[in-house]
Amino acid sequence: MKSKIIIFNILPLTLFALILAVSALVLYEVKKNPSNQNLINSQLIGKKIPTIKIEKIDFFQQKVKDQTLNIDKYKNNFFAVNFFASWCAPCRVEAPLIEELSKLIPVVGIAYKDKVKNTKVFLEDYGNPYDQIGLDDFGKIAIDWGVYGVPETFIVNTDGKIIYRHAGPLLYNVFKSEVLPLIRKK
Amino acid sequence: MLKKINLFIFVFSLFFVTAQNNINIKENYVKSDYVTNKTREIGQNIRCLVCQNQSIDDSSSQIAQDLRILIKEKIETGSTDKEIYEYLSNRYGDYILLNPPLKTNTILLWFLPFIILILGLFLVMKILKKSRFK
Repeated sequence: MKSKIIIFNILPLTLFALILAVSALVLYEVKKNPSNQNLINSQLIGKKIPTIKIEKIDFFQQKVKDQTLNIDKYKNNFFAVNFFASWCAPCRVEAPLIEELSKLIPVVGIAYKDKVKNTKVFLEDYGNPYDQIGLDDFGKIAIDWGVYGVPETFIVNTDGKIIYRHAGPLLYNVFKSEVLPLIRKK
Repeated sequence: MLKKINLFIFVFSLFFVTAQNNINIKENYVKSDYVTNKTREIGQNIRCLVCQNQSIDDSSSQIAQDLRILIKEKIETGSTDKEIYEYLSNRYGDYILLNPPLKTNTILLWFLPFIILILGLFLVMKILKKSRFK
């Protein structure tokens, strides 16, 4: 009888301790690897890139060229795809790092729900690091890429497969610890 | 009198607020009842990724609108429900489904409530039995 009472006293405490331990473990994992925090980690990693059939922005003529983005030219090369918009504040923050990235590999910019004239002003103010720019005025391409907000950056390898995705502004620590090693490995 | 005029202006401006919203949504829900109902039915099972626990049917965020339009177009071109759910989960992960699918890593999620319920019943029965004999 006495042992039973002890069990009933200890059981809730043990359960509580167990829950605490599991939470601590999860928290530790998240702390250790911040990208785990992203619950919607891209499903497209390791997969072929979705097609990008959108009109190109001609930076100088200020309008959409009657021409689609040329992705085939990166065949057997690394390249990056960066979803951005002139109305997006974090895109301004990451602009210098996209510039850095463009010195290493070509970057395709996709202006998400943007107006061409605003894109042009944005690029004049923050520099144009992009090899080509496409206009995704209805956000269709973004959905195809699993993008849920701007900015997002993808890195595509020589097989045309996505090897990396970063949601949110590309900051220096992420660039140094996650992006650079990937590009150096190529 | 002034109060009445103020009230009128207030109500009148409210009318414009809603009208503006309708313009923004860009969705034509009158088109077909079947497509509308189906879009809403699927939308209720799709998580709005940028909201706090809302489905895209509840949300008026940009991405929710875009996804609703996409779903509507997919229904109109004859996609099945399954194809639409697969399309979305292939891009955004199972996280986008408000009903998590039964997989090996979600077994606990699905059955833990039942296990706890059974354990609880067992415990209650034990305690009741004990108190009756006293």
